[in-house]
Amino acid sequence: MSRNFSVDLTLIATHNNKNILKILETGRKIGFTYYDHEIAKTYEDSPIITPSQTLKKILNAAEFELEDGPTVFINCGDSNFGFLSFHDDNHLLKCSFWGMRPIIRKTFEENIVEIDFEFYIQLMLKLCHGFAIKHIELGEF
Amino acid sequence: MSKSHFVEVKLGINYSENNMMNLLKKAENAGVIFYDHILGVRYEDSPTLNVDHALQKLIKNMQDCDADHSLFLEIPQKSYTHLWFYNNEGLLEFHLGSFVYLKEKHFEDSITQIDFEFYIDFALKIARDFGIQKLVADSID
Repeated sequence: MSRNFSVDLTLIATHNNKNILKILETGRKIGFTYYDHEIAKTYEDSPIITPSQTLKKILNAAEFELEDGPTVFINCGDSNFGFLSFHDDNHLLKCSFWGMRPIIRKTFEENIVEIDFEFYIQLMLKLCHGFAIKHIELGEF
Repeated sequence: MSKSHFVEVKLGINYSENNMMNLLKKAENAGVIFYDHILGVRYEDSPTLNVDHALQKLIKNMQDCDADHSLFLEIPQKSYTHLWFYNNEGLLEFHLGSFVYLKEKHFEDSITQIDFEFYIDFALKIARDFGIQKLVADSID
């Protein structure tokens, strides 16, 4: 069974459209591409959408109250893909990056090859730059 | 009531004195100064320690149930932190906390908060060669 990882950031910022859009726009500036995935299409072949269209997609998805929260498929450069989710965490904005494919790995001390969490943490810090962090946590599922 | 902030990192290397030393050396290379705190003396006025003595102090304190298990460090940009080592399922975990001269920043929504990015960056800098299994940053009242 393949391992899945996540980086979850809860921000000291209200869960609202303005703040989500700001993060999506920062993502665009640092090289994120957002996809409008349609059923029966591969994610990568789906149409590319702007940050504003992505926000609209997220708001539409929110109406269905999906367990993983409103999610958008993204590319974050060099064929690195994943999902970005936005949750309401007690009225605070929680931003999660998960389902990374392929997983970026690195050879560490003692020749252990593992996920390079530093890459993903730095990516999330850049994405949410300008917002105060309440909580950050790594997940595996 | 003031908040207490912390960063916890579980590494992908065994809990051993050798690996504690490796981590302290990374910290030293990152510009950290180790202090030999003595009761009744201000932390910043305590004598400094080299990396060998810093490890000896930590080990000695960890063996003494009544002693504080932490080491007091100055990290670059004039901030201070305590460092603790723990054995988490056989792997080395370190905690940073009880920050002195807390780094704060002005964020969105006009709030001044701890600059967790600063402390996470420092934790990543000293942990990057060992593989990160877990990273949590949070605050408690």
